[in-house]
Amino acid sequence: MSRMTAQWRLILVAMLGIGLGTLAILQTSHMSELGRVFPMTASLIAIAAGLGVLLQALLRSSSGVPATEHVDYLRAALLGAVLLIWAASLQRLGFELTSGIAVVLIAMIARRDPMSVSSIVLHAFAGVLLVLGFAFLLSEVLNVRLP
Amino acid sequence: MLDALLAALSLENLTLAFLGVLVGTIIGALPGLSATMAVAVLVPFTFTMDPSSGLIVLGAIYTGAIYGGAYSAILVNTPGTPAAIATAMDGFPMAKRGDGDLAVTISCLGSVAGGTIGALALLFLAPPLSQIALSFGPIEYFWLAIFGLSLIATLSRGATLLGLIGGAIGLLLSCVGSAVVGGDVRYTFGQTALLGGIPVIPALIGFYCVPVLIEMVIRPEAHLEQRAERMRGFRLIEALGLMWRSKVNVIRSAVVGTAVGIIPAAGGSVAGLVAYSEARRTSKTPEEFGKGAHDGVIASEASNSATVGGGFIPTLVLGIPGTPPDAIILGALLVQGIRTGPQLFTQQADIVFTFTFGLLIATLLMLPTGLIIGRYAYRLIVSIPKTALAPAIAFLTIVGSFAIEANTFHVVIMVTLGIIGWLLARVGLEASPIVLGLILGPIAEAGFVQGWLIGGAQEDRFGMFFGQPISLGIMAMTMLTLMSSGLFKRKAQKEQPS
Amino acid sequence: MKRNLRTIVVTVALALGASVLNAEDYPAKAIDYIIPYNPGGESDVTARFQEKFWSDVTGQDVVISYKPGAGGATAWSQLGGFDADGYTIMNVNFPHAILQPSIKDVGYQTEDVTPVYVFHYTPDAIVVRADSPHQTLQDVIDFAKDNPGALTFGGSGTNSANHLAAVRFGQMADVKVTYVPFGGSAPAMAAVLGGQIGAGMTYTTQGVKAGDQVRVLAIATEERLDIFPDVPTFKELGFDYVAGAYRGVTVPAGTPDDVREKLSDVIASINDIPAFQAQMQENGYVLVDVPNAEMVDWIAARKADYAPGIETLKGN
Repeated sequence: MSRMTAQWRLILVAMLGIGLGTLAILQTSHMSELGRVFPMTASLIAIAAGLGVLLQALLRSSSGVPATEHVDYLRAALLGAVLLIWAASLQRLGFELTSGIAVVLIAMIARRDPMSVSSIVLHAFAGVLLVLGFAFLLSEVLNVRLP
Repeated sequence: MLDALLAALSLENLTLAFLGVLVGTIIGALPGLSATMAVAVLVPFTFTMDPSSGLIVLGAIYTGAIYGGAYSAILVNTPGTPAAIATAMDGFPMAKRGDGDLAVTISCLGSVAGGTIGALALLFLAPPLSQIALSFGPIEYFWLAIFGLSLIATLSRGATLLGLIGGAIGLLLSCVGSAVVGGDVRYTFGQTALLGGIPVIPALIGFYCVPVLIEMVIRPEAHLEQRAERMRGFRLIEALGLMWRSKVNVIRSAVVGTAVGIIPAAGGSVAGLVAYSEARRTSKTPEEFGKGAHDGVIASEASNSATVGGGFIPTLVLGIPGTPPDAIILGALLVQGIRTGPQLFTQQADIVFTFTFGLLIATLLMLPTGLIIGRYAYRLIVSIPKTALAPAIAFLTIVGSFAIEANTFHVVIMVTLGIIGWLLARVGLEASPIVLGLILGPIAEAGFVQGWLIGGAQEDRFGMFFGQPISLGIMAMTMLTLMSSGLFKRKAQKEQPS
Repeated sequence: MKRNLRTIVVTVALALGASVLNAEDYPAKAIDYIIPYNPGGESDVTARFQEKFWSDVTGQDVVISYKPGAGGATAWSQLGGFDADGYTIMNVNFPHAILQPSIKDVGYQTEDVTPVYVFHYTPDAIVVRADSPHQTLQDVIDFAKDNPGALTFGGSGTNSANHLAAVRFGQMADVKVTYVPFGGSAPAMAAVLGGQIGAGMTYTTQGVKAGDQVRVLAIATEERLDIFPDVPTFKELGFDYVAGAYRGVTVPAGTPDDVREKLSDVIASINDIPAFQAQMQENGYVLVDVPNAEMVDWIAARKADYAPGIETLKGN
């Protein structure tokens, strides 16, 4: 699904609004009367707007919003995965270790042209400085306890 | 008063004010490291200082941190504090097209102007203005939040329905957790970690910064467009010219900021949004808002900096903190043995005035500090390669979302919402409506539930919601905003409270 | 910056094996003190008062941080996850820590919270705006009797100390009042001062902060307070009611007994400092001393005291 027409995109959004709204309404059954008001209102807005979007998508084949352009999903997925794993392992593996590995991985994902040795050294130096600098700032100056 | 001015101008206090602004600006520029945190960390150090010097440091840090949020908003589309949300809306598009230096400079000028007006209000008008805080009850909060939400219609540029879906998602996210008002446990799916709700700052970092990061990595072109011929200094003359042309906007936004700052529980985010909305409504070129309009940046920055002075008004006069950092400063005052309240301005006036002059001086010191830091921050962001920028920003998002409460769960929430935010943006649901729902939802809901209970007790719910002068005024402003957005018909269904 | 140096010195000392962290030396380094609420509230202010004297008593610093959320439940549900070595301590409030788990699943049980010391309480107080027609507590009761449900009591949070107090007051005085929850004591007081609600079911501390803008009608202490010489206690007015928000310091459940005793002694020593006492009392707090040894019985007594009110809250 690297390319999507505007129409399909709108249908997707409509489904999202309607689906999410319906799910959220189903969850309100155990709430108190006053506690239910806001989730209900928000869900109804989502459903109504979703229906509106659906109608728009079906009536007008092109809605003036251009189709999404080609996207480098591989890089996006890799980056997302690194961020998620980083966040999830922070507690267990510690701040400095995870940050060190993740910073290197993200630099590799962002890289497009081959790098010279001097530039790699410079990057590594900057990375170490960044991680250790912040470790110091947080734990010593701001009194945040790092994992 | 003259004695107080001289006391504030002592070498020690000037140095403290300068250091405070510097540290505050840097902390505020890092997403997640907030004014509240900076102030909280420094409170114990002020115990050993003279009360007014201690207060000056705290005030200077606070001012600096609120302003510092503008850098990350402009340069990486990440409001470091909720107060800078509206700054990002136009600041980032400006930076994207190569005007980042100009955006940083006008944000600095706007902040100094707004901060000065807020501080002057604190100096001369604090006791009478504190009454504004008292005239805002639950219903007024409810309508103010609805007014803020109406901005969704104007923000979503021709795709109101998509904006509404986003806003609804934000509102639902804001319901997660145990409701302070009402006590319901909602949408936690059995996860006790979610009882406290979706933390706002990690959500902000996720929704705004992670998509920018992903786009940065998947696209070959530079993060910000760089115009070689434009890399010349601060563009200060150009910025001053823009400010002069926007003087009405500056003053209006500063007044809005001061007033909203006085209202407890509203704070910088609401001030920025209301001022932005008003600037857009009265602009001759409203269609430029969201695409890099100078007036958007000026309105947001002038108003959020004015909340600093405004927020101290109820804090000092009524003992009711106007904003979260004010709450900490109020605590520090109590520890110092200073009793707030109307009598503070008569019995311990010297401390109050020294502090206020200190705040004013700190605001003015923000001009050179802000311009210089801004210039280097911009150069840095523009010139370093993506292979260094992407990991650095990723690192900052992780650090920022963790640091607020030293909670790794917040980091997971940040990343998850960030990836969801990017996917939603790809199908046309932008971050701002979601974030507006998330931030304004709780204010609206608390106001609604309280108003409903009070109205029930008085057996006049209709009069409660629709019969109060301030509420009617806010409703009228909401209507005007919606009409000027040209989407009135479609939005009408949303304006009725349940 | 002196803190950095100190940390480095301690770290180096540790690395050299010069000292091992044990109960004898406790505390041998700075202690993390977590406040489960937003800064600026009563929990924060009293911890800051303690902080001021902490290093005089222990020779070490205490580092205050905040973990707000769900009326304190966010922090208390994480308590068990911290090292049980006495270097992470947390503020704990009663009745909150008894109320919350008995009404909803909040991720912890009252038993998980094991305070070593309860050092003060903030007495409940009923306050009205200075120009309110209600001059005495009896005026309030009469009004509520004549107009069932019309009197609004503003307080901090749902299922909180203020909420419980409003319910118990209704039961004692046999009146029907409407409790309106706010996001904290400060916004509740703002609504009292602004006249949006009839009275505040709040704490003595709020009466102190608001000064002569409000009238305190009754306070829930054993005896009158020096700061409010003209304000009667509920006892004087015929209600056997002494209550408020009790605050203590807790450690994770597995903390060794000798460390608990040491910490208990530290807080007791701070409670004995006249300057600390004066500062607390001036701001409306009432000092109590419940040391580690008496804690289990004290909590049991509180539970029994709160039980009827909790039943009513559950029924809501």
